[in-house]
Amino acid sequence: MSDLNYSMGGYAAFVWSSVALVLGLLVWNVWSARRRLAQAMLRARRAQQARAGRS
Amino acid sequence: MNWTWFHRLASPPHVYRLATRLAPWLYAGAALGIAYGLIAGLFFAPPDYQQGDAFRIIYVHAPSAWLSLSAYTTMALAGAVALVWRIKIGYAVAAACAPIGASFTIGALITGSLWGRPMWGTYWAWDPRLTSELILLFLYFGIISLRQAFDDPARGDRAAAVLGLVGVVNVPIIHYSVQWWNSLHQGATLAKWAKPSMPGSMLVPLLSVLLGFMLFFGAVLCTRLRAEVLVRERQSNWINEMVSIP
Repeated sequence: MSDLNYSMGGYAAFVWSSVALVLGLLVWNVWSARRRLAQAMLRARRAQQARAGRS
Repeated sequence: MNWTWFHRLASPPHVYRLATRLAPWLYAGAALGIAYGLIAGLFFAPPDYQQGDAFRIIYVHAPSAWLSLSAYTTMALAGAVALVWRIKIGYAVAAACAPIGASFTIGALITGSLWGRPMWGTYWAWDPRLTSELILLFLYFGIISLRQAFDDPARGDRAAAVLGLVGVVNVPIIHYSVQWWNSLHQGATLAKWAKPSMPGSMLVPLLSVLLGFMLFFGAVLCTRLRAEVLVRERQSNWINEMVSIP
């Protein structure tokens, strides 16, 4: 592993910050989509419970 | 030819079940494609003869830019389908695409800026490619805001779909801007009819990350689409079995 090019020929700050940003975006997209799904599931469950209560 | 499968794509319960089944496979494919491409591209591809190791930003910049355009095109097409054929699931697809596309447009702009600093000597220039990509971001913000600006969600959906269709003119402008105008931005690395401008050892990891990002887009779209369908159909009978009330 020590032979791997972490210094990126002097461009490490630019390369690694770009990689970190995009990996962060990937994680944020998964997290926010799953959070939205959980919220929608809760809203749908409440709406169905309200319907069941009315009938 | 039997078109039943196609017509069923207009059915919210069918789309919900399909998205639920597809998402895990798409996430798995995306993880493999992105992991292989990034490791091979960042550590094992040779440095560029002009840009040195700074060129490796391409492995996150190009897929982000490609995803920003793909998400917009998908969103505009879905909006058009909903407007023309009054297929409501199209609005749900369009609503699900917008935040994904906007986030990767931000990614493309920032990584492009970080690539521009060592190569061009500046983080930003009012270059045709950069400016049209920035306009794409404003279009995404406008569409997201417009959808939420109406008390009646159906009117918000229609207005957002119209703006999405108007803004689609920006997609070919972004793509061809480097050919139509003098641009600091380099030309296309991958063109449909031309030989790729990089060797296989650099190209294969890039294609792998690109494929991974497309699968990732599909996976997140499935998750967001399920949420959109649940919100829009929450009063429907079929939702009952999906949310499994004890």
